[in-house]
Amino acid sequence: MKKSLIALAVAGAMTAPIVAQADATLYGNVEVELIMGDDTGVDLTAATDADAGYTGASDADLQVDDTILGVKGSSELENLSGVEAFYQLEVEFASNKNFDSSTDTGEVATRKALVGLDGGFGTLIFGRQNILAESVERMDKYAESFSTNQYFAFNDRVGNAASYVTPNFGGFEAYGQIVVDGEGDEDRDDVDGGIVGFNYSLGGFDLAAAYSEMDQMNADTMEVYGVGLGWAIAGLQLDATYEATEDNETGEESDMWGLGAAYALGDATIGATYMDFEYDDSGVESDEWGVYASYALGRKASVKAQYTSADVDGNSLENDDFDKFVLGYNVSF
Amino acid sequence: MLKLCSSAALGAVLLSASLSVAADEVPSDPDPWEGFNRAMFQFNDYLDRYALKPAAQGYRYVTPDLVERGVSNFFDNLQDVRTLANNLLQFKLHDAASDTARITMNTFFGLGGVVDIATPFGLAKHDEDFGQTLGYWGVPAGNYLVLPFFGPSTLRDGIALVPDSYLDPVGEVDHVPTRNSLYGARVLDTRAGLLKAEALVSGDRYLFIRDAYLQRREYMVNDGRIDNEFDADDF
Repeated sequence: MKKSLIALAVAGAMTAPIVAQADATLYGNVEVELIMGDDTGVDLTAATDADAGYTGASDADLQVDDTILGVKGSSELENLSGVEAFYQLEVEFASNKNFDSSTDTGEVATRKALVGLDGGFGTLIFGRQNILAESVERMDKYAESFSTNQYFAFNDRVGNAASYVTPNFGGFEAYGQIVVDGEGDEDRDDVDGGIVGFNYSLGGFDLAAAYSEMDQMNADTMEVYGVGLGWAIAGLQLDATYEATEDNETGEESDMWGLGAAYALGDATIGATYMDFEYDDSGVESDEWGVYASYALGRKASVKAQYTSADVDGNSLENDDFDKFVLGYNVSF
Repeated sequence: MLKLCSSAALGAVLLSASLSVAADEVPSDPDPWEGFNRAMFQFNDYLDRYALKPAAQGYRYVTPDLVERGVSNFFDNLQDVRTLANNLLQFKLHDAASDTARITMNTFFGLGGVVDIATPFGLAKHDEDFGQTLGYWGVPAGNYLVLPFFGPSTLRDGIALVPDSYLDPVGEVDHVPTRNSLYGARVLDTRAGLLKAEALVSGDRYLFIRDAYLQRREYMVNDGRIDNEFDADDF
C-alpha cells in the first residue's frame, strides 16, 4: 500500500513537467479598487439626465475591478513548417454583487476565445479577440475614469471576427479585421463589420491609424476613424489620440481627442491625461482631466492612486461636478 | 508661541551642529549684526532650555520609538509638499516628479504618511525650501540673522520662510485646535530628533551653530557641490 502511494506520488511528480511541455499558460488578474466619487456610473456623453443615469449620489465602493482567468498556448505545426498554432481563452467573473451572500451569482463573461496561426506570412486570428484598432487609444490609462468607457469609440474586443496582421517590416505592420455575424442585425450581409489600420514604430516614436465600419442593430452602420501618436524620451512618455464617429442611421457625429503624459521613476510612474469629447448634433461636450501614480511592488503586483475630474457642458448635467478618486491593488499571475 | 516655531529652522539649528566646521573657513564677515543676533540667540536658548528641551525630553521618554518614527514620517511627508514646489521652482523636474510619487505613495499607501514606504521603494527624500530656491536663482545669502523662535537664518532664508509657510499643509487645516496641536507636535518631534546631536556642539555655542548653519545652507543650496579649496592652499 505504501509502495503504491509512493509510486503514485512519483508519478504525480513526473506528470508536472509533462503538463508544462504542453505549453499552456494559465494566467489571470485580480484587482481590487476603493472608489470614492460622484455617480460612478453616469454617462457624461448622454444628451439627457435620464440617458445619463444621473442620480446625484456620491458613494464609496470597494469593488473587484478585474477578475480575469485565462489559458493560452501555442504549438509548432509539424506539417506546416515555420507555422505555429496558438489559442487563448479568457473569462471574466462578476464579483461585485450580493455582498451579503457567501457567493457571487454574477455571470461569467467571455472576453476572448480565439485560435490563430503565426508564421512568416504574418498572423491570422479567428474568434473573439481584441479590436486591433485599439492601438490608437493610447491614453487608456484609467481603469475607472469616466472617460475610458465613454469617450473612446472602439470597444476593447470584438466577437465573430477574423483578423490578419502583416509581418512587421522595420516597425511597420498593417491589419484587417472583419466581423461575420449570422444574427443580431436586420440586414443579411455576410460581412457585418470591418476594421483596417496600421501601426508604425521607429525609435521612441509610435503612430497608429485605424478605420472601422460596423453594423449596428439596425441596417445602418457606425463609422469610426482614429489616430494615435506616441513619443518616448528618457523616461517620459507622451501620447495623443484623436477619434471621430459617424452614425449612418442618425447622421450624428462625435469626436474626441486626448493628451497624456507619463513619467517613469524606476518602479513608480506618475502621469496625467486630458480628454475632450463632443457630440456635434446634440451639442453635448464633456472633458476630463486626471492624474495618477502607480507603483510596481514586484513583477506581478502593483498599487495605484488616481484622481479624475470631469466637466459637462451642453446639457442639464453641466452644473454638477464629477470627481472620482480610486485606490487600487492589482495582482496578476 | 509654539505655533510660530518653524520646524525647518529649528531643525537647521541643531542638525547643522552635526557638521563640524572650522570657523576660520567662513569668508569675510558674514555676521555684521552679531550684537542683535547674540541677543536673539540668548532668547531662543533660554526658551529652549526651559520650555522646549524639557518638553522634547518628556516626549521622547513617554513615547515608544515606533510612534516617534511614525510622527516624524507624518511631518516629513507634509514637508515633501514644500520640497516638491521648490524643486519645480528650481526646474528640477525629475526630483519634483519623484517628490510627487513619494507624497502620493506615503499618503495613500503609507497610512497618511505615518509609514515612509517610498524611501525603501527607491524614491529618495529631498529637502528643498524657498531659501535654497532663491540661492539657486543666484540671490546671495546676505547677513547672518538669528530670528526669535525660528533660530539661525540669513536675510535671504528669513524672507523665504514666508512663501514656504504657504506650502505648509498644516496651515490649511481650518480647525484651529487641530492646527495648533499639529504645530505643537511638529515642534516637539523636531526638537526630540535633535537631542542627540546637541552633544556635538562644542566651544562657543553661538559661533559653532552660526558657522555650521551657514556652511550647511551653502551645501544645500549647491546640492552638495561645494568648491573645495583644499587643494588651492599653499602647501
